[in-house]
Amino acid sequence: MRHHLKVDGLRILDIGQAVSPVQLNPGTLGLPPGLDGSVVDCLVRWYPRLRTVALDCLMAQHSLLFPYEDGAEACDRLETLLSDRCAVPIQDDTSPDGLWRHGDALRLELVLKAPALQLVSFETQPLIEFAVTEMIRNAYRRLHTLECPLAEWFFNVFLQTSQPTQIPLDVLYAHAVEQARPTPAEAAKIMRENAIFWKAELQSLGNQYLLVTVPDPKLMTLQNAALYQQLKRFLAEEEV
Amino acid sequence: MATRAKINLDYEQLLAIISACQLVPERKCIRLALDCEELTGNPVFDCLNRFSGVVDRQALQNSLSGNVVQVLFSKLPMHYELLQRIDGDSVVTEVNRLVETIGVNLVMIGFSNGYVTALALVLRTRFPQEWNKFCDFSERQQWKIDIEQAGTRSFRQAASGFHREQVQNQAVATNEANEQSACDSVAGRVSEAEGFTQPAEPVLKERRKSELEEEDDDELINGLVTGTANNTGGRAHQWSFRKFGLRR
Repeated sequence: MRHHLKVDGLRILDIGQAVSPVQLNPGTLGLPPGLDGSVVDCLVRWYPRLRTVALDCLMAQHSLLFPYEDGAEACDRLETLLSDRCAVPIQDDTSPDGLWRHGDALRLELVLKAPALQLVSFETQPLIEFAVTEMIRNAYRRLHTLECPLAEWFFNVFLQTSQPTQIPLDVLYAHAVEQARPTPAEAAKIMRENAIFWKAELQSLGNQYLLVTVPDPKLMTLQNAALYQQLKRFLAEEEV
Repeated sequence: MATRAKINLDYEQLLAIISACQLVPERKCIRLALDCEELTGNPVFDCLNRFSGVVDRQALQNSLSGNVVQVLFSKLPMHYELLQRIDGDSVVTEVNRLVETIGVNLVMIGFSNGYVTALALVLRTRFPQEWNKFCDFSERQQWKIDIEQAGTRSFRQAASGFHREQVQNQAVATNEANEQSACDSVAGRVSEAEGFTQPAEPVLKERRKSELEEEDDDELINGLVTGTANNTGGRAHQWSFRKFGLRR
């Protein structure tokens, strides 16, 4: 079956919009079918229940990727991450929707101040569905912002920029002080010890070389592919 | 932030007050009364409870003016000392401030709910001592207001007003109790003599009369709210006389 996939670039900027609306049945949650008061009164009275539902939804989705994190301890950690203890600094003061950055990301204030609430009909089911969806969206926003510095660190680990040097100190010392280069066999051995880094590094150097020496783009693409195959063969020799 | 400083309540506490002031039609009382049944007799609670019933009967669709709120105050079955020293405009101002702070319109807060909450917030700042006693009774310590912050002038006024109101309420309560006991005794005699269990006829007449008066007031206030007051009707003139302190 084919589905039409539509991607809105502006929506991607807000990770909360990636959360699809949840579907809930008031009866199964123990909620009455009617509002039994005003919209605000209904949400205030049922807020603790709706908050629990939102946390359950978040934990259920999280345990798909991390099945070992599904207990009460993990849930407590999630609540702490969403509480005011883990508020994130406001980077853009002009942003109108940065309320989820501080305080409890699941608090009712964020639901009530969401502009889309004006479009929700005054019935229990759409109201609680909107409230829980909005809570989950704010949780996504908070968690994604919290993970940003960690993701940058992961990228640095991948690029190995955290390492002071990629070459053994005695080899580096011999070259820098005694002007002595390692033999080809020694160099190949050093590179094969850290194949991931040297594959990327040699590819980068090879590209620079091709940019200078090959004027034809089509030929350069071919040369680049050939270089990559050579690199794979060179660095995979020891593994095989 | 200025609004919060003025109200001096957290957002969550404000939401809790709104929910507590929600009228429960089946019980004919505000939701707070469901939690604390012993609140009856507390002047602040009585003001809120009675005012919620009066506002709810208007079935509001639009915002009220200060004058109409003042009329609604005068329509309460008991005259509360606290309400006599509050003007309708301050309640209307507080409603607007509430809407701005909560961030939703008055329809979502609920018209009657919004006005009762606004009255509660006005009472809180004007009569801090009574409000704090109300918080003690209702076990809502987090709603309390710092009396020193509220000002000593209003504190003294509130203290004297509270005493007078207590005396007045006690007198009204005594009258109601006497009336009820008289009703019971008359009804008992009638039922004993004739084998009926209905209340005595004089009491029924009195009740019908008061109900008719309430209906008159409802019509007039509805006219004020909708802007279609009938000034040519006899009842309107009767109400006008009463408004200016004249007898019919």
